[in-house]
Amino acid sequence: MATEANKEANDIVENDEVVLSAEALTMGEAAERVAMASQWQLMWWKFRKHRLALISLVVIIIFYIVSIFAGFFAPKTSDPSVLQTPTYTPPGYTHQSEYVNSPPMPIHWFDSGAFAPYVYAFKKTRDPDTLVETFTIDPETKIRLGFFVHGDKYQVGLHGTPVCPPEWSDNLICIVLNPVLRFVRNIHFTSEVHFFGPVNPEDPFYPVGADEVGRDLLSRLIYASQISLSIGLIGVALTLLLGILLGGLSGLVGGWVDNLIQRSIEVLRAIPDIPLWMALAIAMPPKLDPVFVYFGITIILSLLRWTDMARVVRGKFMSLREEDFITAAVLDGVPRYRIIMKHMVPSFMSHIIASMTLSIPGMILGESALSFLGIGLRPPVVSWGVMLSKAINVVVVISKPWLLLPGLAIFVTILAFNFLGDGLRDAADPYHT
Amino acid sequence: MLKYILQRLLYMIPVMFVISILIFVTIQLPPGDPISKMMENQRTQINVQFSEQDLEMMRARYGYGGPLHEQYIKWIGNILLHGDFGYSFYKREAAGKVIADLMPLTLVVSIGSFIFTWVVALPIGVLSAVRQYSIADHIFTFIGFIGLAIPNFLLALILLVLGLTMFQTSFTGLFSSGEIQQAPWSLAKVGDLLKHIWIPMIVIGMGGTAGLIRIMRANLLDELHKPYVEAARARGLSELRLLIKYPIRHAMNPFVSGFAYLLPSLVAGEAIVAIVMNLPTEGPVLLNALLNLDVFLGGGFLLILSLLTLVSTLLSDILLAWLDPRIRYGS
Amino acid sequence: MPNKKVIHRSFFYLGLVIAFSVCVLLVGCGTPVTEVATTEPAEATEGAQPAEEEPMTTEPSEEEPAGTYGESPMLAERVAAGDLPPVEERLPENPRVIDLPGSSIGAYGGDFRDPFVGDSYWSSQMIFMIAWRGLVNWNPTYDGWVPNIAENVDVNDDATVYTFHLRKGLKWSDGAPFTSDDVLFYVNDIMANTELTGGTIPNSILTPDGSTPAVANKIDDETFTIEFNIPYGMFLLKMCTYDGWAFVTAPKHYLEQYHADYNTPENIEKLVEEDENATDWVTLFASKSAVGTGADPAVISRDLDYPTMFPWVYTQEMGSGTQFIAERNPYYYWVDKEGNQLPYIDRIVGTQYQDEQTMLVDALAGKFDTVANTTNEMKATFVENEATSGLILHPNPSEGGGQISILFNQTHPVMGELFSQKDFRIAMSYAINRQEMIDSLYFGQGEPRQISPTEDSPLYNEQLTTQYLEYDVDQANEYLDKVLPEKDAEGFRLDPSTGEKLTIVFSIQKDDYGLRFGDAAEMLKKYYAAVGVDIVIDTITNDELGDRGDENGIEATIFTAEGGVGITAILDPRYYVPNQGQSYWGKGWALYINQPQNEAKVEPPDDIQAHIDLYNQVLQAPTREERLELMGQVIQNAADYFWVIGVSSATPGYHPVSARTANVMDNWIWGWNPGGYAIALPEQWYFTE
Repeated sequence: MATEANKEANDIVENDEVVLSAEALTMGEAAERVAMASQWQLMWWKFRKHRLALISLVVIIIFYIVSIFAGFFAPKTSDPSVLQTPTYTPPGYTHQSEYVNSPPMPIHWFDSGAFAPYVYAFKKTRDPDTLVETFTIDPETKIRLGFFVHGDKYQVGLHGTPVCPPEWSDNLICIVLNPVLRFVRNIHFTSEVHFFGPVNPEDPFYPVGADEVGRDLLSRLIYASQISLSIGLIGVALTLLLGILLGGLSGLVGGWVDNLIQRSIEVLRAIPDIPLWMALAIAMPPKLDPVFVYFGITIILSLLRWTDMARVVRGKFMSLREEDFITAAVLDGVPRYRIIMKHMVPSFMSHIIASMTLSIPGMILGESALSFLGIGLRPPVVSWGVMLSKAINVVVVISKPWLLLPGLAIFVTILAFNFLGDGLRDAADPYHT
Repeated sequence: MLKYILQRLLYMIPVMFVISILIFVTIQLPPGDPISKMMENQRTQINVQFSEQDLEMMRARYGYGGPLHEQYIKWIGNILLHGDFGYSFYKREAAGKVIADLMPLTLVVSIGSFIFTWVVALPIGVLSAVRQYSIADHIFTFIGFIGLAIPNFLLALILLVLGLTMFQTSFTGLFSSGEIQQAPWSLAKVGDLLKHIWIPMIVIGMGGTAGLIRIMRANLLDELHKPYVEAARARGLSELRLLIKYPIRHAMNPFVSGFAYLLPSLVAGEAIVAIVMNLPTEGPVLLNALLNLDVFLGGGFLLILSLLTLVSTLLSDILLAWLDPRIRYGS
Repeated sequence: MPNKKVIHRSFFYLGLVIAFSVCVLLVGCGTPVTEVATTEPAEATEGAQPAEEEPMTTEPSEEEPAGTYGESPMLAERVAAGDLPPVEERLPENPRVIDLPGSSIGAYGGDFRDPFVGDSYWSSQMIFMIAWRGLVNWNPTYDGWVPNIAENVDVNDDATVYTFHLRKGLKWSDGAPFTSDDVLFYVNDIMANTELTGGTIPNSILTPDGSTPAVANKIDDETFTIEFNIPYGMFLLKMCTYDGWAFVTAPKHYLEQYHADYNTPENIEKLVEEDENATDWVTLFASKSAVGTGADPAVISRDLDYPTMFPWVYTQEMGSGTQFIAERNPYYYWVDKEGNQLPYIDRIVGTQYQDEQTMLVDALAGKFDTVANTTNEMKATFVENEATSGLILHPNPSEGGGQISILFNQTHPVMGELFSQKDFRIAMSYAINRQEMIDSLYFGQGEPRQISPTEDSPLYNEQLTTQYLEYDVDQANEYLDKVLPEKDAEGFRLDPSTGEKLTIVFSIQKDDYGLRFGDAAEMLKKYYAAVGVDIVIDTITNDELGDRGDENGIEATIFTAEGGVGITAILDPRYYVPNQGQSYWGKGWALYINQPQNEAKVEPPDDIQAHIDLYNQVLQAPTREERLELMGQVIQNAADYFWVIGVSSATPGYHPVSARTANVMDNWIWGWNPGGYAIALPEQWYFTE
C-alpha cells in the first residue's frame, strides 16, 4: 500500500543526506552565486536536476488547471453535479442514448490538407438476441470540431461551496457562517465557451468514449478530478495542521507530553489503516448529504496520517535543538517563539513540503479504495474513485476498456506526486553537499 | 537486553488497552446493532416481518445491550480471562474460531507478499542509488512505482481477466478447489497453495515496493558518501565488493525496521485484494463483520492484527539491536 | 449482497406462457362440472390437476411393481454396505411421479457447481433448490397448485377448513417417518406457543386476519386439517411460495428435545448449558430450530443433523471456509416416470465469493454450472465466451409488471400533501422520455409502459397499463401549473407552502439488481429539471433504505416493478395496495398495517382503507372467479388513483446453465414467488457427461 511507502519516505526525510554533485556549478563566479543564493533558489537548482520530478510538476500543474476550469476544458457539461448540494442544480446534462457505451472517436486533425479537425459519427447496431453492440464509423457524417467553441453553459468558481442544510438553520455556527458561504459561492462566472469541442454543440463528441449512460467520459473525468485532486490537498492540509501541532508540541515540550503523543502515535500506527477506515466510513451517519460525506471521508483519511507528519516534525525539532545556530540564537537571548518561527520552522519547511507531496497519493488511493468497497463517496457525486468503482467489472475490462480511464488518471497523478515528492525531498537540503 | 524486552512488553499493555477501547467504540459507532442487522437481513432476503418488540426480545434473549462500558468490560474480560472472543452474529459461530481459521492463511499471504516486496525492492534500490539519475534508475524506479500507483483492486481484476482471456483459466483463490481448501493440511495441499499464491503475492507486494526502494536508495546514498567508502575505494577495492561489504549492510537496517511497519499495510492491502481475488483470508470476512456491526468478530480481528503489529515492531527492534550494536536500547 | 426478494426482475416472455395459461384456464373453467362439485369445490378451478400429475393421481403407481425403483449408484453402494434400507423402503407407497413433456430419463451423478456472493443460505441457489417443496407446489405454468408432500387436499365450501392427505410412508432425510404430527408440531407447538412467540402473534400465512392463528387437528398419521377463523381462499397458493416450506421443516422427533412441552426441565437445563447462545429453553429452541419466531432458517445449512424433506441435504457446512456441499436426500419422495428416484444430480457444491466480478471470471472460465444475478450488460460477454464457460443462456420470463417503478411517497409528512395530488403524478409521468430511457439503460429492450399485470394475465387492465405514457413536456407543465404555479428566476418551481424552491430527494438504493436505479435517477433529474422540478439523488445502502423507510422518511425512490404475470399481483400487490414493506409510495399506510407500534405510521384515509379491505377480501374469496373479480377491482382502483409511475415493460431475462445439464425446461418463469430454479424442477436435471 501507498501508506507505508509514505511512512517510510518520512522516516527518510528525517535523516536523509543528499549529496549535491557540484558538477553543475563551476568554481569562481558560480561558487559565489551559490553562496549568495537564497535557500529556495538553491532548492530549485537542485530540483531541476531530477528530470522525472520536473516533468511530474508540469503534469500536476496542468491537472490542477484543468480541474479548476473544468467547465472550460470539458467538451460537454456532462454532469456537473460534482458536489450536489440541495441548492445547486446542474445547468445542463448532455447525453445521447445512441452513443451509450460508444468507444473513443479518433480525431482527424486535417481535412483535405487544411487544418480542420473533425470526427466521424458512429452508427450503432445491436443484436437483439445476444445484445452485442457494434459501432461503425459513418463516413457520411463528419462532425466539425474547433477551439473556443460555444456549447453547454457552465460555471467556474466557488459556486459549489456548500451551505448549511435547512435542518441546521438554528445552529449558531450556521447562522454566522451561512452569509459568508453564500457570498463565497457567488464568486464564479458563467460561460459557454469551451476549449475544444464540436462546432455545433448538439453534435456527439466522445474523444475517449462514452459511459454506460451515453455521457462523455472525458468531461466526466475532468469534473471528477475536482474531487479526487482536492481530497488529497484538503486531507494533507488537515494532516499538516495536526502533525505540526502535535509533533511540534512533542518535540519542543518533551517529557510526559512527548510520551503521551508518542504513545498515541504508536496506537494509531498499530491499527491497519484500511480496516480502520472501513470502520470509520461505515460509522459515518448515512443521512449526510454528499458534501458532508466528502468532508467526512477527507477527515477520516487524514485522521490516521497526521502521525507520520508528527514524527517528521518531532524529529526535526529534536535534531535542530542541538544545532549550533540554534544554540547561538539561544545564547543571544532571542525569545523562544522567535527561534521557532524564524530559525527552526524555515529550516525544515522544505522537508514538510516533500512529506506532504508524498502523502497526497495515499489519500487519492484511499478514496478510490473506499469507493470500491462501497463505503466512500456515492454517485451521483463523481470522483475518479466513484467512476472506477463502476468500471471494476469484467465486462468493462473485456469489452469496454476505455471506461478504465479513471484508473489511468489515478495512476498518472500518483506517479507524478511521488516523483515530485522525491525530487523535492532530494532538493530539500540544499546546503548539504 | 532482557530488561529491555521486558520493558517493551510492559509498555505494550497500556497501548493494547487503548487500542481495544478505540476499536470497540469505533465499530459500535454506526446506529443499530448486530441483532437488528441480522433481522434486517432476514427481512430483506425473505420478507419476514418483525417489530421493534421482536428485536427487544431477541436482544434480551442474547443478553445484548446495556451501556457501552459494561459491554466493553464483558467483552475484554471474556477475552482475557477465558480466551473467548464472543459469538459472531454474522458468521453464527464463535468469533475466536473464525479468526483462528483464517489467520494462518492471512499470515502466509502477507509474509509471502513481504518477501516478494523485498526481492523486488532491494536490487532496484541499490541500482538507483549507485546509478543515481541514470536511465536505468528512472526505468526501474518507474517499474517499482507501478504497484504503488495502480489501485490494487484494479490490478487484481486486470490480472484475473488476462488469465481468463489469454489462458482460459482463472487465478482466483488460493487453492484449485473448495475441497482442497477445506481438506486437512498435506503436502499436496501445500503444493496446490504454492501454485496459486503467487498472483495475490505480486498484487499485494507491488504496493509496498516503492516504499522500500526509497528507503534503500536514500540509505545507500547516505552510506556511499561516507569517508570509509571513499577510503576503501581509494585502496582499490572492487566496486561490487565494496558495495556489498559495508554500505549495503548498513543500509539494510531500516529494511529490518520496515518489517514492523510493512505488516499492517500488507494486511490492509491484503483485505481489498482478497475481496477481488476471493482469497480465503481475513479481509472479506472482516469487511462483512464491520458492515454487519459484528463487534465481536470485527473487534477480535482488529485486536489480533494490532497485537501482531506491536509484536512485530518489537521483534524488528530486537533484531535491529542485535544486528547493529551501535543502537543502544533503553531510554 | 443480492436480494432474493426482489430478484424477479420484471422480464416476461410471452409465447409459451400465453399458450400454457390459456390452456390451463380452459382446463380450469372447462373441467366437468361434476368434478368441481364433488371432489375439490374450491381448488378444481385452479387447474389443480395438470397433465404432469395425471399419471400419478389418476392411476397411482401400483402399476410399478415393487422392486423396480431405480436409485443412484452412490446410494446403492450404501444399501449394499447395509448403511441404508433399500430404495423401496425409503420411498413412500405412492411417490410423486415427474413426467414433464419433452424431458428424458436421466443419468445419476455429478456435482452441480453453484457460485454465489453473500451468505451461504440466503444467496446460493440452494434456497431455490429446497425451499419451494412444501405440502403443495406450483404447477410448471405458475398458475395453480399441484400436490407434493400432500397427496391431496380437500377444502370446504367457504375455504376455512383445509384437509391434507399426506403420502403414506414419507420419511425425513434421517429415515424417521414424516407424519401429521410434524406439521401439527409446527402449527400448534411452535407458531402458537406464546412463550416462543414472545406473546406477540406472528404475522404469517397462518394468521389471515392478523390476530387469530390457525389451528391444526390430527385425524390420523397421514391426515390432518388446518382451520382458519375466516375464509382464506388464497391459502394453498400461498403455500406454494416460500411461505410453505416451514410447514415441513419442523421435524418433531428432532426438535422436541428442545421444547419445554416435550422434554423434562432438567434435560433442557443441560442442553441450555451446552449451547453457546442459549439462556433458557426459548433461546435454546430459537437457536436450534429453523422455523418459528426469531429462528434463523439458515440453521439447516449449519446443523448437518437437522432432518429435512429437501431433495438435497447439507453434508458439509461452510463455516469459515468458502464451500458448502449438499448431497442427495436418500429418502426423497420423487421418482421419474420409469420409477427412478430423483434427484439425478448427486451433489450441490456451493462456492462463496466476496465479489461478483470474481465470480463472473470463474464462471466464464468454466468452473460452474450456473450463475445468478446476471444482467443485460453481461449478456454479450456470456455469449462471446460460451466456448470456455460451457454455459448456455436460457431465456426466462419474469413475474414482474414492469422494469422499474418511480415512487412518490404519498404519506410523507412534508411532501405527502403535494405527492398525493394526482395531477402532480400525472405531470411527473408525462415528463419522462421513456423511449430514451429504454434505449440508454435497457438496451432498447421493452416498451413504454406503466406497472400493471401483463397482457396475458387474467388481471390485465389496459387503462393502468397505458395511461399517461407519452413524453409530453407541454402537458406535464400544464398539469404542474395546477399544483405548483410559482417559479423562481431559473425556472424552478417553488414549494407553495414555504415559497422556497421545491427540491425532492430521491433515495436510491445502491444495489440495483442490474436495474440501474442510479442511472435512471440521473436521467429523471434531467427530465424533471426540464419541467421545473428539482430533484436530488441520494444513493444509500439497502439497510439505509429499510431504516429510512421505517421512519417514513423517504420522499421518493426508484425500485423494482413486481406484480405482472398471471396472478402475481395477488401474491405481491406492493404497487397496487399499500400493505407491503416495499410499498414506498404509501409507506406510512404500510407501516400502519404492518407495524402498528411504529410512531411514523400514517392512518389511511377512508377510501384507502376501503381499498386495503377490498384486497383482504381477495385473499379470502373461496373461488378463483370471485378472487379474480375482486382483484380486478383492486387493479381498477390502482388505475384510477394512479399511485405508481412505471417506465418500461419488463425486458426478457436469462439464466446461464451449463450445456452439460439436460432436462432444463425452456422459458421457466423466474421470480421469488415461483421460486427461481424451483419451478423448473432441478430434481430432474441431469448431466450428459
